[in-house]
Amino acid sequence: MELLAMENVSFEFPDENVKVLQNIDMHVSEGEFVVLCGASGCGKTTLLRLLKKELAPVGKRTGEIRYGGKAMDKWDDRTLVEEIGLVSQDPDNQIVMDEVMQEIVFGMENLAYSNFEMRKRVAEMVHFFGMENLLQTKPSELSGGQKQMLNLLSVLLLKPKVLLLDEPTSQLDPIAAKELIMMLERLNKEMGMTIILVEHRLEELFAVADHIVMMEAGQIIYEGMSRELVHSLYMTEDERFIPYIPSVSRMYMEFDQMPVASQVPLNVKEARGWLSTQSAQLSSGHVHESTTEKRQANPLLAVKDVYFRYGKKDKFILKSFSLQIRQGEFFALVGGNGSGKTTALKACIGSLRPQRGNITFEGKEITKLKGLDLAGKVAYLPQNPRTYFVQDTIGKEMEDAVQRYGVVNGGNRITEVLESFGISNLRERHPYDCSGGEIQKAALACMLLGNPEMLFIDEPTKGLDPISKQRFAEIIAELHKQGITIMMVTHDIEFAAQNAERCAMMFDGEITVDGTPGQLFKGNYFYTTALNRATRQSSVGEVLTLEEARILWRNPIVI
Amino acid sequence: MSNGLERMHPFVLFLYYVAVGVLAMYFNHPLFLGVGCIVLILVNLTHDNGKALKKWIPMLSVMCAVIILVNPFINSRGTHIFFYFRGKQVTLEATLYGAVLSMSLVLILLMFISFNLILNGNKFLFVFSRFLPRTAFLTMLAIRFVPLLNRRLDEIADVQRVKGLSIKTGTIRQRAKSGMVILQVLLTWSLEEAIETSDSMKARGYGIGKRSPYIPYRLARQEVGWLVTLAVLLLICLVGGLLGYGKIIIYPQLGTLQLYPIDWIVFISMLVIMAFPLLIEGRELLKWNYSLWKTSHSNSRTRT
Amino acid sequence: MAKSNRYLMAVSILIVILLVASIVLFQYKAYLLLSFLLIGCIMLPMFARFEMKEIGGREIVMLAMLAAIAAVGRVPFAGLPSVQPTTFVIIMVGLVFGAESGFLVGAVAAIVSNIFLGQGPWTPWQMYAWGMVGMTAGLLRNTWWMSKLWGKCVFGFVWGYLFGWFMNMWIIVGNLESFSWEFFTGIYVASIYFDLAHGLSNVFFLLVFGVSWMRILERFKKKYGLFDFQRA
Repeated sequence: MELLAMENVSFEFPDENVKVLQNIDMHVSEGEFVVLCGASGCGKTTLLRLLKKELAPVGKRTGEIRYGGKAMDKWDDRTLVEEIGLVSQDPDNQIVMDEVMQEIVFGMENLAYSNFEMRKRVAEMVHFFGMENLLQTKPSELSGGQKQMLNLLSVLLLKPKVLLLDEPTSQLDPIAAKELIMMLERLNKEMGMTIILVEHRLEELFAVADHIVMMEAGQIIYEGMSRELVHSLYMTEDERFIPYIPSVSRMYMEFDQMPVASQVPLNVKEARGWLSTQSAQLSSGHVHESTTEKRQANPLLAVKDVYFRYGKKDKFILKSFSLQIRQGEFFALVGGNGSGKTTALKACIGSLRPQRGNITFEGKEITKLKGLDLAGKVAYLPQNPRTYFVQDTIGKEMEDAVQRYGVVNGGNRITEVLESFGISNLRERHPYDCSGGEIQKAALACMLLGNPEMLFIDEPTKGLDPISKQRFAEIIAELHKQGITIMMVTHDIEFAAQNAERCAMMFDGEITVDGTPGQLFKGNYFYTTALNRATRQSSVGEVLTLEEARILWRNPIVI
Repeated sequence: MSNGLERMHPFVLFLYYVAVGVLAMYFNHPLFLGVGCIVLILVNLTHDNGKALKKWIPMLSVMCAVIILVNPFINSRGTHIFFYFRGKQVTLEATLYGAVLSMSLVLILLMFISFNLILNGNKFLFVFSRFLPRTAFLTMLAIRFVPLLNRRLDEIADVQRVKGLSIKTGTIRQRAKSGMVILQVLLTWSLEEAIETSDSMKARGYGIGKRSPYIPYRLARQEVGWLVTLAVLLLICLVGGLLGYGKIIIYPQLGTLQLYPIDWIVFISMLVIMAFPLLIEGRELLKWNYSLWKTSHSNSRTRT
Repeated sequence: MAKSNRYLMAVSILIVILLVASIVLFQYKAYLLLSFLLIGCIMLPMFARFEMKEIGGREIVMLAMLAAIAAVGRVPFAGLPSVQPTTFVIIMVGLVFGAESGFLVGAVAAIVSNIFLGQGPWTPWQMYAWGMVGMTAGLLRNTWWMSKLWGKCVFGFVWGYLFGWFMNMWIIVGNLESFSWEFFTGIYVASIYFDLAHGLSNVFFLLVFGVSWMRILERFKKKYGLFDFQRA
């Protein structure tokens, strides 16, 4: 039965003559799991918000939106609040109360439920979520994943029929993201909840979703069931959307002689099944180890036996943490939550003073560097690049940087850098009116004005759509080629495996393994790419990334 | 250690702290205040073995010392003259007044030390939300933002530090400027993020009608009993005080310190109020020991 | 306008009644207790007005965020004794969002910062003092001199002193029975350095950051259509 429908819906914001949505037609049946994707700015968030009446953006809308067979505007506010729930991106921002229990009941309080009803619902749902022992904690003590679960729980207590989610996993680490997706799958399968999910990271979602909608520039470009969609995307060779497809499906589409829609694998298990039939067709090559001999360059950053803890009674977060990064290297540090990798990065940029051991940059203690000695040589791209901007336009910020670094011929240099990043249009823009990918480039552009020797990057792929991610990878590769030394901390193993030349894994406060991506990730159960999990111990040879597969399987290097 | 007092209904606790605060400022008989201070110290000891109290001891003692020592010298009211200092009289009245004042202040501060431990954050707001729901909600939101803002401040400081902005080195001017730049980034960033917060409130029906608060605490019979008891005792104290009991005349001439029978009634009422947490904790302890004793008893009986 | 006049009348009548009651009832001069009652009576109607008002969730979140920023504003200045930006933040809020918002943000900022630093008998005084900073900034924002930078600086400097003087009051009021001018001046002389630092840091912040902060707050006000209802 049809639950939600959009018919010929167009939308434009006031004072802007651009249609954010154009002639959208979408039908969602009860119990369906719909995934909505597209590059940032494609209108998917606007579409989602039009379905949540209280948050519907102000502007000119034409066309019809129906819920349960009745026009959306004809429903009363209360019913819509209860029946259509929304969880959005940032886990922290959605929490309003200072205690988990109070946060859980917040929605029910607003709708003036009786205390009896509240207790009943809380008891039931809290148990389902297994959050009993967190009820008295403060939100600031929860992990990102727990916070997002709390947000979901608080919405679910109103017993919605439709759940709208706007990039709910974009700020989470992979494990927490997977848990959230699994919870959504359970809600969909066990309770028949209708789910509309806007997301960039689709690796697991193709297997879960009943229906996938792909958007660009305010229009629905493709929609359909996962397998058919993958197939038709490859048939039309649409480069805009192929990066959204899970790597195992891409592997199938690229390497199968006669790909058939119904056979497209969507998860590791199916991919392994397919691979086992392929040994004859795919030539198996030997593992091609990148034989770049260890550079003899001097270490730029040297960390020796560092110990760090926040308080005297806390446990050590860094324990005998040692690391050397040579001039010109591209190094990625990966590790789970709580492994200490963020603390390690903070120590490397000199924000923390280790209790034992030392960290030197070009032979000088990093915590003692200040002013231009630090700012002129080191750049740090944080998880949230907005924190970099002090001025109210990107142009002004760059002029600031020119002044700070004493760049000669600053004006020209700014134009040059902006053009090389392809963001000249952002010059007059407020940093907060840019998308995640744009702001990242803008911050990098400012930093490059100072000609840094070393670039530290923290979780660069958080919240980026696959296209922006690709662009970012290209930019970083270019910088690396120009000779900038890079240290990156990330959860995103796919990204690290594709881009870094040396990776290390952090565990319990120290580096446990250090080597090329191949050495590090191949053969792991969890800490590796989906493609590796699919190809491990297969007859065609183990690969980490699609690029590697292309090289290895098509043009085998026989030693 | 979870203590019995913390499990009390916030209304009872609130009444207790109001009563202690009012009485501390109401009576001025040294015996009343002195005993009050001792009782409140004991109360604080039962909370956390005096950990929080310890931090305040230096400040409390300095404050007492300053008031007791300084008051007689800058104040020459009173008729019982000890001696003359630089041509000004130092009087018994002024000395006693200093002592009374400092005891009163110490008592209030002791009350607040206990308050900060027991009726903290959410419980206080629960009481508050009964009278001013929206103000309480506003405060709750602001409190919830604080840890978040502190984390953001750290993040911003890290980024700006690498840009060459330091709040730890340089002249006061530079440091104040750097600090403000960081705060400005925090402002822009957090106001932007706050939109998502208000959306999340709206999405869950905030502002759709009158709210009905979830009541996490239920007033037990016994707690109602305590409420009434405390209220009655407070009333006795207030009426007694109006009639002049529990108070002494200091200026212009020191009156008598003697206590009359009614003074004792008022005194005992005050003592019971102030010792309320001790009674609760004592009862818990007795109950606990009794149940231990009982189980060990029945165990031994089954064994034999 | 009529509404606020009535409200002022009510408050002043209440204060007179309290004063009379205090003279009749409290022969023993519990001045400190009385002062708390007075502060409570002055502030209560303002909170009550906020309770009654038509106001959206977005405004409440903004006010809470501003109060929290005012309260945590001390953190980056931890190494600089007697420099704190709380007053500056509250002045900015008053100037951009008006008297009522200024008052609320000031009062709530006091509660919030004390929840982390420890509540004490000074809390109500601080609430009142910071509340007044925000309120006066809002009331005077349309005067000709307040729109000039120097006007704001004078305002900030004066409040540096007023704030300190007002906070001294709780010591004085608690000690009113032994009031003497030496005692009075002693206290005020002792606080003069702190008040000067407070006033000067207000001026410094207003000079260097006043314009950019106003611009940021105005941008938000416009971008999200906040506080449109509040013109006076």
